[in-house]
Amino acid sequence: MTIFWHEMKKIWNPKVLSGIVLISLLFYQLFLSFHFENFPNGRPALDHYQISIELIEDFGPSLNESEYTQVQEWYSETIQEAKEYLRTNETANQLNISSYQSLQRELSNTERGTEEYKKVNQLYTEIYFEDEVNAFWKIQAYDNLMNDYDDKEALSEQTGIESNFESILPSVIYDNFQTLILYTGVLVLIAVVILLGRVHLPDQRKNMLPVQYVTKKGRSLFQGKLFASLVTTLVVTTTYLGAFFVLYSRNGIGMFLESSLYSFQLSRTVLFWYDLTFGQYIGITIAIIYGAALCGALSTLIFSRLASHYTALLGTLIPIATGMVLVLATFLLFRLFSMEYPLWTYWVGIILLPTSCLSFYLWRSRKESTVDII
Amino acid sequence: MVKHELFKSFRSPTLYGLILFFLLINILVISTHAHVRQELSFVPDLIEQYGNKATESVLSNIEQDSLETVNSSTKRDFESLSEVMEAEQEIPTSTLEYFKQLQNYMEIGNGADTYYKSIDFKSIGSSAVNMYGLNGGAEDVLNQQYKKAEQRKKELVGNQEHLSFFFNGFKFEMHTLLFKDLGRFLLFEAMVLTVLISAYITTFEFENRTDSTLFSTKRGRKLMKDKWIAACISSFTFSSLLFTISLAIYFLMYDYRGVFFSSFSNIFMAETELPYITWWNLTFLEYLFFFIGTGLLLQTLFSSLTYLLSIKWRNSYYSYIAFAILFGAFTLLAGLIPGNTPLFFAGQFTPFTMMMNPQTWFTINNPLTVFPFYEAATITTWGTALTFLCYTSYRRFLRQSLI
Amino acid sequence: MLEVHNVTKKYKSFTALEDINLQFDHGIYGLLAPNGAGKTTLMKMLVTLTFPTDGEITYQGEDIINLGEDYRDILGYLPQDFGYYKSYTAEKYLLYVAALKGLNKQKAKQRIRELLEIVGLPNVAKKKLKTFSGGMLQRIGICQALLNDPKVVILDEPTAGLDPKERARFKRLLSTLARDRIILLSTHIVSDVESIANEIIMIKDNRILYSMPQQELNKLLEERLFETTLPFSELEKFRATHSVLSEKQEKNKMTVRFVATETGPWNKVEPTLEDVFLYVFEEETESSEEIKYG
Repeated sequence: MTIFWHEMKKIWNPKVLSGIVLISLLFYQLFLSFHFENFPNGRPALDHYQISIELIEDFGPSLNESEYTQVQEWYSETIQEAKEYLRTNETANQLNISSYQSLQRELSNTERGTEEYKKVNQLYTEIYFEDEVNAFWKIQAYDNLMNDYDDKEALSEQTGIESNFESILPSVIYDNFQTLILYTGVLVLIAVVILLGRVHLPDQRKNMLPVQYVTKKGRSLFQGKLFASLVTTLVVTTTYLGAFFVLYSRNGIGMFLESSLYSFQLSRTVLFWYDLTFGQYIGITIAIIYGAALCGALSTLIFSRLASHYTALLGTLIPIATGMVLVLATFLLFRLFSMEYPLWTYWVGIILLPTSCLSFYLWRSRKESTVDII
Repeated sequence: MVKHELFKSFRSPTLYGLILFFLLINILVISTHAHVRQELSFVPDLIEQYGNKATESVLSNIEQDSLETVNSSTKRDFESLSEVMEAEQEIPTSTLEYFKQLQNYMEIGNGADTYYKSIDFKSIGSSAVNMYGLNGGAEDVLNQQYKKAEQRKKELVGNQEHLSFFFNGFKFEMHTLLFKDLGRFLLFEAMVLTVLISAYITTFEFENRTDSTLFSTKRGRKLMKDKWIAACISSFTFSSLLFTISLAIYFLMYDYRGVFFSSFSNIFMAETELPYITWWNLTFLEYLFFFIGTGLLLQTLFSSLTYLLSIKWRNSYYSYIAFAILFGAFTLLAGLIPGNTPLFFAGQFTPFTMMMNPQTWFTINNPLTVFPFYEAATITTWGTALTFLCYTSYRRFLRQSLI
Repeated sequence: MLEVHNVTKKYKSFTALEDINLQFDHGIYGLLAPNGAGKTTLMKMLVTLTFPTDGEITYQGEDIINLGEDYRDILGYLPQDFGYYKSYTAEKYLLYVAALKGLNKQKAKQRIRELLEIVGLPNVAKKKLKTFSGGMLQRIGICQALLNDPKVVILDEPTAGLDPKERARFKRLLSTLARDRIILLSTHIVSDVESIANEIIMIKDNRILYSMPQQELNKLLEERLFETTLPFSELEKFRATHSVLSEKQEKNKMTVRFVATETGPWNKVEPTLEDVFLYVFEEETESSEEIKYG
């Protein structure tokens, strides 16, 4: 236990630690903050988000056919609202535009560049961007939503997935989450690698090994350092994920945790191998991040022991970290378990990554007891 | 003495390993367009036969020639390419693809003059102003730059630069592939190499505990000057190696015969509504060399910066971390300056922000860096500042106590 | 009892030590050898930093490799140019090594106080190691070796950097410790082991040349060591014909210490360990070889 604390103190070097804090803050500002501060990002994303929340409040995490008739009613009400607005709008009256549909029709049918087009376009800009008339944005969102809902049966036929796709989970939520979680995962990995890069190498550079390895616990120091490193990894990962979820909770997605990923809104763009709720999915990504952080820690430790100078250390860690980030960014975290890749890819990744890191580590660990210290 | 310092990096197997890894990544990036290789050779073939300008007479020659071939093989009497396309099913499939491409390039070529006339830098300017929320001084600066761009546009149309053949940008995005995808990778990779090498050389004596022996010799602390030069030379060399091999692979993969001598500011290359326009009349090859030269010069800046950090920390690990922090800080800073003063643009004049959009170097296409001498100014100001700082800290190192 | 049985150590094609046999019981053993003879390699094998290519090293009859932790528990080692953390205080550094040696913190603190007292550094426990002089650091190195009250103490050039006063104190310390311990120290400074070492081990050409008590070693030169005073003009000639060990300038003449088989008009002197060392490791001439190896 004493060794553990000694090693912890060395790992938590104030200079390196403040470096990591700074890097994290910058990383947050450059990559993450945007997706917190701009969620939902503009319209109609906001309308999708709001409508979905209303749906869940009224009907729970899924929307069945009878409940859907209610949605259709809301839709017609909104159409009416839009009509009301247009009735009092002069330009609209001039152009003879009296409904949402006729506005859209004029917009696509009028020839570009003409005076008339300019007027229609001006009206469009006025409604959508200057006055930000809710009804119009809402109708757009309802349109999308209802299209998706109507297509859901065809979807289960096409894909052969046995699901009614009635879950309410808009893609704005999922997309936002997966972008954030990927960057968070990458940041955790960076922090762990930087922090643990110095576990073994400085001792070697300072000629400490002959002092350490002749002591009673010397040959098991590798294990002692492993223990301290793993605890460090868990602490760092938990801190970062904790901070992440505190920030993420302010995105207001609590309502959707019960919703299944087999949602009519999401399944157009991404399909999943498993019928998970959004909450379960988040849980799995957390597990993946812990796993990736531990794998990163193990490989960093080994190379910290093997490298003879920092250039060699970085020279090996950069490809490894880049490789891991690529794996996370292509399938293991970003769009995890989506049908873009065959199911076995994910399981191979989930099994292969830890086993290879672990066996590499065990190989070195076994060697430690008989290695020559020159 | 510089020679000995150089050896320190040239003998490090890690660096060669890292270059191999980077090459592997670059090959992956390059091969993303491998499936269009065949289609691409259409342009070099065309240039070989008709020269590299799509003037009216050349275009009608091309049309005539191809009509003759198709008429003789189909025994029909087509009078224009569009007629050929309408009778699609009668054309042998082997030549159909050719005609489709041909028609595509003809259309672009024929519309070029009108298209350039319709490019309105005022509206481009005002949409940029909206996008970045500019007003006051910053807005004036931007409008002024776009006036210059307008001038340049007229000039290039006069030179017929815009009629030079290039791979269809909307379809193949070869400019993006080469200068943005591959280019950005190259720049980041070279930067990693540079930082590793420079910190390695500079801190070598401290980390091998040879400092007390070496810094007390006759050459002594002046060794640090050798290290500075060696760090720059060696970063430059390793980066050149990476650039050369990667680009060689690229040009072996994609056939740029003839295209090398096309003017860069042409309409075919356009990937967005605003075609790429360089501030000067450059051929593609010239642009490529400018690009490589700038990329490599950036490395000497990074090398000097790393040298500066390493002399301060005397520990390469801390230098790496400090470099990463500086990188992030300057990138972030560029986005924090308010859009109502010309200072807004000053934030862009750093080697770090410069690396973010290499595909718009020397062009008018990036509103944030729409200055004819943006690249040169960035490199000279940073170069001067870093040289001064490096020299000062070298001078200070000469009298510092080394414990 | 620590025993080395037929130990050979090879690094790839290079043989560092060949067929070494040694026995250590209580007492001080001085390891004398010129640089590169394999001294450090032998010590590193005795402390399990490297392992014999052939043969075995046993402690109380058991192979030290198999003993592992149990062996290292009774081991104290001071490497040449030992490592330390500059930013640590003396106490923190020693506490760290103590932890590695499996001592509990309370005991370790007590022990550190005692040891710092013994090596004459009672007031530096809270000072950072980067402020220490070479001699002070070396004494910290000795402290760390003795933290666990080891039964086997192996010291690689322990007196490097110590001033004469410290050296004398160190010798006293070793004599006290040697009563119930094995102490093996290597040194270039013959006077460090003279008078306190029970046995001297000399390594030459990767083999053990001698391993015997000092008195016996001195017998090599008994009746054959002489001293005479010469004018400078004759020095050159004398050197060519005799095996000269050392020279000392006195007024306008030279006093020469040399080995000879025949007698002459010279003063016979008692050999010291230094004489033996110089004699054994001098540039070999045909005549000297005959005497040494018979």
